[in-house]
Amino acid sequence: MAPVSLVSLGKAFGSIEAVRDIDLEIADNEFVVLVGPSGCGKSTTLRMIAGLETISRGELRIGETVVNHLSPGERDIAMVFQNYALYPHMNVAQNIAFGLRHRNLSRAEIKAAVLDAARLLDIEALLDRRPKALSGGQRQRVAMGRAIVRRPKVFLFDEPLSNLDAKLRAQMRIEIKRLHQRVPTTTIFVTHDQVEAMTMADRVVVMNNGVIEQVGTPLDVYNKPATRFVAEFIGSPSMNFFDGTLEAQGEDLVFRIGNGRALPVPRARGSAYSKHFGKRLTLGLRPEALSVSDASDFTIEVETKVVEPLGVETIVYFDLAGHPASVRAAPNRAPRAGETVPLSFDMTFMHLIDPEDGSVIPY
Amino acid sequence: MPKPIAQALSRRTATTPEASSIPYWAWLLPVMLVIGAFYIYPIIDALRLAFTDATLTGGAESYTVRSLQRVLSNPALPTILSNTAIFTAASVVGQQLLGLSVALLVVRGERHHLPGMLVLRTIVLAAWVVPGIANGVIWSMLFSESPFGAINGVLRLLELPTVAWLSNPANAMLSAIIANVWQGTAFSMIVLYAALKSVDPSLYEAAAVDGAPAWERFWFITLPQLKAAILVNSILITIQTLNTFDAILALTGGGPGRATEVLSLFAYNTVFYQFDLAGGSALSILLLLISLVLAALYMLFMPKRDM
Amino acid sequence: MRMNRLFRTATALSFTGAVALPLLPALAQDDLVTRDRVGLADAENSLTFRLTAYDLYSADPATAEGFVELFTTFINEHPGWRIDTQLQTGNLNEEQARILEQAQAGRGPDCAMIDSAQLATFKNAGVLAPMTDYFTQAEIDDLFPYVREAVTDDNGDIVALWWFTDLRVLYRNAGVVPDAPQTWEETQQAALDTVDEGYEGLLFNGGRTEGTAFDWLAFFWAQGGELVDETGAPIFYEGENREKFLAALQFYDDLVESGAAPQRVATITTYDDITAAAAAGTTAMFIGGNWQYAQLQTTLPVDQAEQWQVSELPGPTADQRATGTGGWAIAALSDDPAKVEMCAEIAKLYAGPGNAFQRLLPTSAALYEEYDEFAGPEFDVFAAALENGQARPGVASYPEISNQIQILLGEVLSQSKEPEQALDDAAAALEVGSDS
Ligand SMILES: Nc1ncnc2c1ncn2[C@@H]1O[C@H](COP(=O)(O)OP(=O)(O)O)[C@@H](O)[C@H]1O
Ligand SMILES: [Mg+2]
Repeated sequence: MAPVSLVSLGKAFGSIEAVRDIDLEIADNEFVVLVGPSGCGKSTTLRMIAGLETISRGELRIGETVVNHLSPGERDIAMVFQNYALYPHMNVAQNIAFGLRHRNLSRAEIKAAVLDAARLLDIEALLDRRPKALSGGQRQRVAMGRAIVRRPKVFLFDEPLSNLDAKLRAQMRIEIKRLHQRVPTTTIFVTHDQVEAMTMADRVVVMNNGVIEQVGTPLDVYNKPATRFVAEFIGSPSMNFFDGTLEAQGEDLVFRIGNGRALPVPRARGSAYSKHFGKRLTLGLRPEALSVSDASDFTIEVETKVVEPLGVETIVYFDLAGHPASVRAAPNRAPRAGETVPLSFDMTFMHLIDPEDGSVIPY
Repeated sequence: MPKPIAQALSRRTATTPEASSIPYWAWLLPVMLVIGAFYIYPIIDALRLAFTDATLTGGAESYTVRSLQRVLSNPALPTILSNTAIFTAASVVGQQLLGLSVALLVVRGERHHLPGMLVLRTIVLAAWVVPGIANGVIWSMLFSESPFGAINGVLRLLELPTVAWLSNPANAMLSAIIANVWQGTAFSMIVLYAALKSVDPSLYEAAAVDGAPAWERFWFITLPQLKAAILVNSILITIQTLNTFDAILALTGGGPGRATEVLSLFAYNTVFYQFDLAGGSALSILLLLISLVLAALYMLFMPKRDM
Repeated sequence: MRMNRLFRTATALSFTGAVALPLLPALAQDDLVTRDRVGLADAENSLTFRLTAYDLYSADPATAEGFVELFTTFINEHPGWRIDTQLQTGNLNEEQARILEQAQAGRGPDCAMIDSAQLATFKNAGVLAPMTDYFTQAEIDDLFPYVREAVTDDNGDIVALWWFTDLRVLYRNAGVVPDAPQTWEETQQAALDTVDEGYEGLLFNGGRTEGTAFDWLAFFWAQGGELVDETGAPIFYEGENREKFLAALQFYDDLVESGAAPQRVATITTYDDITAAAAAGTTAMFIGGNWQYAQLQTTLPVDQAEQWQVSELPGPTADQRATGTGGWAIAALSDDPAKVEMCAEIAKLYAGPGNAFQRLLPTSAALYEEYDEFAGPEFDVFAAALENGQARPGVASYPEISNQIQILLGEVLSQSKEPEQALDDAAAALEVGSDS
C-alpha cells in the first residue's frame, strides 16, 4: 500500500550490465507486470526492489522512503518465489507465521492472522501439513499466504505460476487478481508469459536486454506498440512483418512489399508517414488484420502451409513475399493446408517500423 | 538422486515385467555376501570368543562366562568408560562445531568469491588424511612439556605461564580431545559443507524478506536443514571416535595413569599386552553394543522422510 | 628394550615405511641379498626368517650395508640355502602376538626374532624348537646366568639364543655433576643441584610404556624385592615386598615432588625423548639404556660427548644395586632339524659379528674378549653393572604386571594418587585379572 519509484535504476554483475536506466513510477495499489524474454533482467529488477540484490545505480523509493540501503526485512515487502521457497521443516501454519515473529504479536493474534490468511486462500485444512505433502497449487497458495499475512506495502512475484500446469495456471491467474481486488496492495509481478501480463496487469512493463521497451496498459501495448520488439513479443500468434518501401501512387500512399504487390495505406496516416516517403520500412499487421476472403477490392493469393484449429478459431500459416505469416480464420470457413486462398488486408491496423532502430513510426 | 530420475526409476521397476519376477532380495545378495563375510562373521567370531577362555598364547579353548565376568568386574572399567564417554562426547561436539564453522566460512567465502577457499578446504582436508599414529606424534611434539615443546615454547615467548598439557591427567584428556578434534574436523567439514551447499538458497532469501536477521536464518533455516547431516555425522564421528586408539596411543599411551585410556585402547591392551583374546573380544563386543545403542538413539532424532 | 625404543622411533618415522625404500636399489645390486631373501632364488633349501627392521633392512644405509656384507659371507658358507626374509612392522606388541598366533596355527616363520620380554610367553606356549644340539656346552656355560635361565625350557633344552642384552644406567653430564651419585638420596640432591643451575633435573621414562616399569623395577629389585612367586602369581603388593615396592615408589614420588625431576617425566614414553633433551643440553642427568651412550657419542660434538658419563643405577644404599636387562632373542619355530640348525647359525651370526658391528652388548663373557669393538671404558661399567642384572620374570603375567606398574607410576608421578592408594588399586586390578 505504497507507491514505488524506480529512478535510473541499474545493476551490474562485474562488467556485465544486467539492467540499466530503469525509470518507473508505480502507483499505490497498482498491479504492474514486468514481462520480457528470459534473461532480460526482470528478476534482477524485482530482486533489487526486494533488497536481495544490491543496487548498482539509481534510486529506489517505497512510499516516501529511499530504501536503497535497507535490508529486505526493513523494506516491508513480501515476495513469492518461483519455487515457492517454503520452509520444508515447518508446517503450513508455521510457514505463514514466520514473518510475524518481529511484530510483537501475541500467540492468539498470530494464530488469528494465520487463520485469516489461510481462509482467504482456502488452505485452512492444510495448516498442519508439511510442504512436501502439498500439491503445486497448494504450495503456491501457501507461498501467497506467507506474503499476505504480513499486509506488506508491496507484493513481489517472481514467475510464481511457471511451475504449474496450464489449467492450474489459468486458475491461479484469476485467484491472484481476485486477491488483489480483495486486498488491494501495490504488486509487481514478473513473468515471461505475455498472456499472464496481458490478463493480470493494470500496466505492463515490457523489458528487453536490460532496458524497458514500453510501459502501458495491456491494450496500449497491444494496439500501439512502441517498438518492433514489443509488437512481436505481445500477442499470439505474433504480428506479421513484411519488408518493403513506402511509395506514392497518385494521391495515395502505398506500401510495396517484396514481391511487388502494393498495399494501400489509409489516408489518415498520410501526414504522419510523409517524412518516411521512399524509405525501406517494415510493415506490421496482426493476424486479425488479415482475413481469408476475396470480399475486399484488394486481395493476394497465397498457399497455406499449416492449419491450426484451436476450436474458437483456426490459425492459418503461410509465406508471403518470403516472410512467414499467419491469419486468424473462423473455424467453419478455414481452408485446408496446401490450398491456395485469397487474403484480404485491413490496413487501418497497420504499423510501420523503422528497421534502423526498430521503433514504430507514430501516427 | 534427483527426484525426476528417482521417479523414473521407480516407475520402471514397477512396470517392467522381468524385474518383478525376480525376488527383491536377490538384488541384495552380493552385498549381503560381502557384508556377511567381512563384517558379520568377525563379529560372530568375537562374540563366540567372548564366551571362551581363549588367549593369544594358545592352549585349548573352552566355553565359559568367566572372561566376561572378569572384564565386567574389572575395577578400572568405570574409569575407562567415563574416559570413553568424555572423549567421545567432547569429540563429537567439538568436531561438529569446528566443522560447521569452517564449512560456513568456506561457503560464505565462496559466495563472496573470496580467493583461497579451495586452499582452505585442502588444508583442512590434509589433517584428515594424516594417519592416527602420525596425528598423535605431531600433537605430542606440539604439547611436549620439554623446554623445546612447541606450544609451551610459544607461551614462554609471550611470557605466559606454560601448561602441563600431558602430565596433568585432566589436561591430558583435553589434549587428546584437541588432537582428535583437529583430525576429525575435516570430515565434519566436508559432510556439512556438502549439506550446506544443497540448501536451497531461496530459503535464505525468503527468510530475509520475512525479516529474519542473520542469526535467525542460521537458527531457523540452516540448522533444521542440516539436521539430517548433523545426525548422520554424529553417528559417524561417534563410531569413529569410539574406535580411535592409535592417536591416543602415540600421544599419551593412555596415561598418565589411566587418564586417557579409552575403551578401544583398553581392548587393544587386553589383547596385545595381556594376550587375553577372550577378554579383548568381550570388550570389543561391549564397544559394538555401545556404538549400536548410540546410533539407535541418534536415529530416533532423524527427521522423517517428509523433510 | 633397545628394540622397543627403536620401534617407537620407527612408528614415528615410518608411517612412511618408505624410509628404508631408497635403499632397495643398493640391495638389489647384490643378487644374494634382496628385499625378501638372502641367497639364490633357486636354492634347494630354504627357511623363513621374521626379522626386525634395524639391521639388514635398516633405514640407516651404513648399518644395512654392514649386514648385507655379513649375510653375504654367511650364505656363501651355507651353500644350497636360501633365507626368505619377512620384515616385522614397527608395532612390537602386535608383531610378537602375530608370530605367536601364527606359530600356534602352524603358519609361523621357521625362525624369528623375539623380544626377550616375550620369551617366557613363547616358551610357555611350547612353540619354540630345542636348539641345544647346535651349541657347544662351553658356549652354553658362557652365557650370563640370567640369560641362560631365560632361554632354557623345563626339559633343560636351549630354545633360543638371546643374542644381545641391554641394561639401564645413570647418565650424568660430568661437567655439571662431577661425581656419580651412588644412593637415591645423593641422586635427588645431585639432581636438585642441576635444577639450581637451570637444568630440568633428572629425566626418566614415566609414561605408559614398558620402559617406565622396567627402568623403575631396578629400584625395587635393588632391595631384593620380588614381583612373583614360583607359580608366577604376583606378590609384590604383599608383606615385605610391599614395603620395598612403596620405598621405590617413594623415591620416584620424591623426585618429582622435590622438583629434582620435572613433572613432565609422566609424559616421557621413549628413550629418544630423553636423548633429545640430553643432546639439547636441557638436562644434566637421566636414567637410560646403554645404547644411548653411543647415540650421544655420535650426535654430539666431541667436547660435549666426552662430558656424558655412565654409572650404575643408584640404590637405597650404595651396595644395594640392580638393573633391568632386556634384549632380543632368535628362536626356531620349525620342526625340521635342518631349519632349526640354520636358525641357530643365524642367531650366532647376530650374537658374534652382528653385535660387534652394532656394538650391542653380547650375552656371553667370551665375546667381549673376542672383539676389539668392546674395548671402550663404558663397557667396563656395563659389564660391572650386568653383574647385578635382572631379567623380567619369565611368567606370562609379566606384561599385565608391567601395565599395572606403568599405570600406578603415572598416577603417582602426576600426583593424582598417593603411592599406597595407587598400589592397592593395581593389586585389586591384578587380583581380578588372575582369578580365571
Ligand atoms: N548473480 C548473477 N551474476 C551474474 N550475472 C547474473 C546474475 N544474476 C543474473 N545475471 C545475469 O543478468 C541478466 C538478467 O538476469 P535475470 O534478471 O535473472 O533475467 P530474467 O529474470 O529476466 O530471466 C542475465 O543475463 C543473467 O545471466
Ligand atoms: Mg527470472
